[in-house]
Amino acid sequence: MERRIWNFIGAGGHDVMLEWADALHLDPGVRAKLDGALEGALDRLRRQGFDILLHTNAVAGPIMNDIYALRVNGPVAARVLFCRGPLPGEDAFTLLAGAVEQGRKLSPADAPENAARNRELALKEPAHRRKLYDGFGKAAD
Amino acid sequence: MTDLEKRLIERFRDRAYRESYAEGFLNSWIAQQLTAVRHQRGKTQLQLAKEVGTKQSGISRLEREDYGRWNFATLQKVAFALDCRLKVSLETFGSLVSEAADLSEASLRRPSIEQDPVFHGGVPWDPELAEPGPVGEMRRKLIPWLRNEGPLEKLGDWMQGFDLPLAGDDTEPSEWLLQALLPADGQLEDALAARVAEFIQKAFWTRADPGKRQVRSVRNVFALAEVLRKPVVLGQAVWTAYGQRADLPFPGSDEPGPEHPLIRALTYNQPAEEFPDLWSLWASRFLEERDKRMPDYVGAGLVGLSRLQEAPNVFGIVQGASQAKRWSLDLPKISATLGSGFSRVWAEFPDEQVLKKNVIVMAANLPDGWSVPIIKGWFESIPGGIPPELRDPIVENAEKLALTA
Repeated sequence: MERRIWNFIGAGGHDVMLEWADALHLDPGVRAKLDGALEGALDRLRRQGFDILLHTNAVAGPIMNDIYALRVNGPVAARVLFCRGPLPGEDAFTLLAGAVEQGRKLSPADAPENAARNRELALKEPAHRRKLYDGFGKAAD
Repeated sequence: MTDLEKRLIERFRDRAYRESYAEGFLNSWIAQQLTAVRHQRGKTQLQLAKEVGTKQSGISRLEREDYGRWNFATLQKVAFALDCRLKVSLETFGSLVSEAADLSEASLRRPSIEQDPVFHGGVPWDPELAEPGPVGEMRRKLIPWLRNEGPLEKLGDWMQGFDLPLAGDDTEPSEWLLQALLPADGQLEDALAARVAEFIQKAFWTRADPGKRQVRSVRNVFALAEVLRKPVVLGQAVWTAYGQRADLPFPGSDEPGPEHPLIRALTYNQPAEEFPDLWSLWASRFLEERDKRMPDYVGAGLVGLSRLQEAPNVFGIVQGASQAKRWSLDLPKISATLGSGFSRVWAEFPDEQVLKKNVIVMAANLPDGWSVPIIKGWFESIPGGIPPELRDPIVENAEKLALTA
């Protein structure tokens, strides 16, 4: 059974995950590697669900209230901050912010707080603040 | 082809992308398969660690996707401890497309040599049939039987309690079959419903004096039909059985009452277009006062009616039956009976909102002369009364109808 994955949409109508990945300014080859690693991890999250990825340490957390990190070790140690749902009863995940782990610290450092704030906004306006995930790196093609 | 497969075919044209995807998939595969097979064997990390000659933390590391430093010697030791072999193989990226789409815990499990069907009759390994325990045992009997259209007599054996798992003697035969179909698979359920319909039509009305075993199999097969709820597949067979029971002794009782598995099977497998006939039959028996249990029949009939998406016109059905047979309507009796029927439906299915809504619609839309006494009878027969938020709109609607008249 596949779960739904949503991308959070920021105030300007931008996909925050794509914005974060673009802001890393990676060479095209490196970016393709990151996309492959990220999309693979998200495919597994969608197909296999939360519990088994938590057991195999691919998911860490909660790192803050209801916020988990999908650990993706591609060309950079990417961390996709996400939550379950968050609408009551939905079998879905919402991707809320991106970060890179360096020396056990996240960059940007306030990524968990941003993710928590985005979760609240997604809860308030799910129709306007989310769009269905359709491949992570599509916009970068 | 799934959306995921389409996307991967497009994206795998990029070398860096596909290599990165494949690396993450391999790491995940190894960690997840070690976990899945260890769970399948019922072993803890500590037990496996002792067999391999390492610490529990060593096994824990191997089951982490981000470990990334597996070596063949260690993996082979772990594989042998789990009664498996290690296979290393160069594969195409094309095969990764389907592997990624099909990845599941079931696809990662492998049987031990004792469970491997290759060593027990040459049946190919099928991860769907690897479920341990008695439910898995039943699954290994049922699913090949469904897929290969095994002999119908086998269903009769199961329904009589033969050839079922030894564990759980108090489990009903129909429950074994239903549990073996979990997680729900529409195709397999349809296949089972088709075999149940075949069994009902061919097998059980052939004897005028059924023995105890046949009675048991008949009751159990109807219990199975009730839970399967496939009107399109089962409706005709159950309906035929209901019609034939007048000419042959009904196994297990003189007359099938509303709690009898046949009536319950009929109620839940009634094709919509045929239901008015059944209702007319019940209505005619009620009007003829032939059966003292008629309020229960009405209750069973209302359950079936109320499960339809649109609430049917109960009044029209009863009146049609009455006119066709030239009977006069006995309003007080019909009112009391319908009221009792509504009450029964309400009490038996507290969580079924469509059903309850339709009961209200049916009650509130009866003709004015009918609706007030019916609704009053209904309210009076509900233990503890009906909640005001539900009661008031019904009363209001009934009064409106009375005023209009």
